Amino acid sequence: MLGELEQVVLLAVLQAGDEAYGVPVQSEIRRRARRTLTLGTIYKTLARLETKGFVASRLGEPTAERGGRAKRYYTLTPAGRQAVRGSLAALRRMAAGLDVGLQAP
Amino acid sequence: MTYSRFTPPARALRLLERVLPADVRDALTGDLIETFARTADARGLRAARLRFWGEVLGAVWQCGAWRAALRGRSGLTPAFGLTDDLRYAVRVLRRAPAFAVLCVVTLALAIGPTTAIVSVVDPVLLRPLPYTDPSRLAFIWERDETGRPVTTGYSTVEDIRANATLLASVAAVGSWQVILSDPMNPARLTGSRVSWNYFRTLGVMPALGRDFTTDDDRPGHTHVVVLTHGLFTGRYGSNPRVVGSTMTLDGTPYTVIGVLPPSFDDMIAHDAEIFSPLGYVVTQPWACRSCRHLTAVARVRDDVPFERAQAQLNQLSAQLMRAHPTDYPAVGMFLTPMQHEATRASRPALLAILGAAILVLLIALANVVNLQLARGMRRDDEFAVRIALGARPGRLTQQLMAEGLVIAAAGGALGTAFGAAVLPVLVGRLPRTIPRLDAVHLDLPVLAFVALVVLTVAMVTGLVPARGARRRAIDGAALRGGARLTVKAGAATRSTLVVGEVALALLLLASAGLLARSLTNLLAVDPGFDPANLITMRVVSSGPAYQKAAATLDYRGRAIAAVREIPGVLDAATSTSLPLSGDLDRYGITAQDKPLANPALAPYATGYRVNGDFVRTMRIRLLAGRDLTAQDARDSAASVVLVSDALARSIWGGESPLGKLVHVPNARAQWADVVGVVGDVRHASLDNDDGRAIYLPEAAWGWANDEAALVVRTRANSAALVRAVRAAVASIDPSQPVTDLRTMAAVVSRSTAQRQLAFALFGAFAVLAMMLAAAGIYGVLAGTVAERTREIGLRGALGATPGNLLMLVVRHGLGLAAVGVVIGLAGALASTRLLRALLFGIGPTDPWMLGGAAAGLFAIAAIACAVPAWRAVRVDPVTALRD
Repeated sequence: MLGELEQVVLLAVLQAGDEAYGVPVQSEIRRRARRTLTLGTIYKTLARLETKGFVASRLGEPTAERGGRAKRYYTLTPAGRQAVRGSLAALRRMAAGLDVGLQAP
Repeated sequence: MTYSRFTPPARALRLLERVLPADVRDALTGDLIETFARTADARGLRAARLRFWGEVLGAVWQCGAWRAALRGRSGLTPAFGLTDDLRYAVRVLRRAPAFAVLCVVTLALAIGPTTAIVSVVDPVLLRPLPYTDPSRLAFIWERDETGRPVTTGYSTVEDIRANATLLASVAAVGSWQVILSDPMNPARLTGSRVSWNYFRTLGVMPALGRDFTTDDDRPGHTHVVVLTHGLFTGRYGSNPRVVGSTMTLDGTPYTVIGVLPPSFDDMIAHDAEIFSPLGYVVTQPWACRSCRHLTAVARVRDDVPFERAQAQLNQLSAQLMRAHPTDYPAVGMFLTPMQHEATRASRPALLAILGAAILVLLIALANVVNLQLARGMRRDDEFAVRIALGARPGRLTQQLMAEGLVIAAAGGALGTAFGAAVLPVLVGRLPRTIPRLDAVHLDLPVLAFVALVVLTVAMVTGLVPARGARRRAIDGAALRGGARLTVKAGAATRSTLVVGEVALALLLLASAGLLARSLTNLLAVDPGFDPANLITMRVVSSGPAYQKAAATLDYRGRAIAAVREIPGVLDAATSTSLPLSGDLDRYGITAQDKPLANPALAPYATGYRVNGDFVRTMRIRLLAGRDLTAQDARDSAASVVLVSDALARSIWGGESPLGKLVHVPNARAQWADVVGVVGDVRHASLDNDDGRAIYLPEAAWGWANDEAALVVRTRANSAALVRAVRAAVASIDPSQPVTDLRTMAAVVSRSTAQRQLAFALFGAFAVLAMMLAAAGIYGVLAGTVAERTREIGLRGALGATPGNLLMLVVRHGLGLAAVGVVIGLAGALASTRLLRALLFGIGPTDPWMLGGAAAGLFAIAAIACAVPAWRAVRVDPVTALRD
């Protein structure tokens, strides 16, 4: 099962779609989870996920607005999708049949 | 979007690029730069910068774990760097908040005052003066008949300039008070009149305009002024056009020719704001050799040692004495380095306070180490497990040092904040006469000092506990657990520390006691007048209307009359000098019946030129003869004076001075009748004054000063009448300012300000030190009792009475205190001599004071023993032995 932070970051990468690099991932987490994670934390988690083989990354083109730095785009690997799915399913099953408000969507 | 408008903080960016692992460096910094630009557009530059720094610090913080994660990917085992240790340390301390807070607060309480005092000491005592090559600058003083340094006359300065070949230049400085006539805002300015080469001698160039030249320094050509930066910004709003403009000083137009740089600070008159040329020539009567009202400043030639220049001045002085035997009281001159002289008055107090602060710092350090040790012993199990799992001993040390660093850094940060908060209070309470208080800031050198303290604390609080912890962990004693019948090894270190704390606390307590006693002794000194219900202020009469002395005297007489009309006012008078205020004129007094071969040896006395009933207003005791009367003042032909008892004795010994004739330099009449003898007044200071004084009607003088002190005796609370008095004086001539309005009690109190400050700080430090020492004793005893629970239980089971057990603990605690007190007493005997300059009426090794401090500390130690002793008595033998 995934760690909570790993879950959040993986879902954020999914939500960000094609544009999944640091900034959108951070803002997705802030917008949806209402949590402010530093980019340091996000990249650390992504590095861990990459080690586990759940995400893959590629470098984009350097742009002027980023001071000539390239973006690093992340995508979920099939194993990553599998892990998220498993993790969420587990949560749903855990919450099933509990009081109103705790039921999974 | 306009991304290029703002750039992120460069320093943060550099930090980031240095620590980030290569594979995410570009991606993360790029993201941050992008976010920065967006935040700046949306929420402003400040918010963006703040967020940027937060992100960078967060990333740096994550770095250790992150590297480990990345290395894990490449198949290497994780290593532990300093960041890991710091992270771990923060976690550990978060789990022991009471311990952490206690350590941090202890350190902050000690670091705060130390920081504040170092901030003062650094610019005031240590930093070179703000001149070119200041180590070559010196004051030149003449020698008076008692061997003390005195100021000099213009003719002597000229002789030095012409003959002292080892001096590169010699300048002369006289004091100058002027009234600036400004229809909007008239003011009294303090300044100096200086020879044309004064700024050149100091190596200071005006920042605007020009310096004085020889042309300005001639009689009748001196109506030019140079302003300080403070006056330039304060009054003229930094308008450069003020250079070349005209200002009216004492009714005469002066041209502003230059403005000094902001760094300039005058070492002779710290509050000087305005400078004008002296314009003396040796033929003028006030340029005479015995007209000693000038301070001589010299620059010694670069390759010449001060001793040689001093020797040459002594030679010159001997020649002058031969040529003008009646002008000099003694042979010899003093050449004193300017830096030393400028800091002379404040050095004893500041160094003593600094010393006290450092003692408190040492005590706090000992206390924190002690706390660490106590905690270290409780963590034996943790360390033993870690050693058993393969941690090298060096790793434990590193870990403990990281914990020490976190505590020290937090203590340092909190302490610096505390120091920054108390610094303005401290500066506000320092006497204004201390030079360069403007330069007192919590600046980089001070922060560097704090950093040094923090690192030292981290080292000590890490290394000392680590030694014991390592040894015990390797012994495996902790894992074997159980039978601890003996006090453990670390306890010896802890006891030593407590003994040291007690010794240092005693030193502080004894010093504080000595200072308190000095202060009460000093305040008990009879100033010779009654300062209660007495108001004083400075009245001025300057400008074209007061060119004649009669106009000034008339103004003062009318002001006195107007003030006396106020209900509640008993008496009022003016005088050119005021006791304990620093405004004193001293004159050599000769008696007709005691002629001197060398008039320069005539005893000096403070001269009070008075209007109205000064002696009665001040309540100075009349010992013999009569007071001065209004008739004396009106009748300028009959010249009469009062002399103080001390002056009478130094001239006539036991003879009655009544009816004798004395000569007062600058008085209208050659001889004046002594009509009365009054009690001695402390003129210059409460602790050191010869009490010699002469009082004469101002009308009997050759001229009238444009300034005088008005003293007002009131029936009751004098502060309530201040407004009425000011209004009464202003009603005579609203164009003349009334300044320095104070109660005489405040004047007296301010003359002891430096001692009061020293005492207040020593007192606070001593209380803090005692509390820390008591906490140390308590900590050691509590630890011992906890560790010896089984032993105590056993003793109880074998028949020890509660009294026996109580004594066991108390003996231990008081034993530690006794050793500390003995060492502290030895230290006090050796070191309180350093306080001598601040003491008054009490010796530095006063046995009562040292004994009292020892007893006080013992009492505190006994209180500290109470709780652990009580706990020992309450040990239940059955529970203790079963556990």
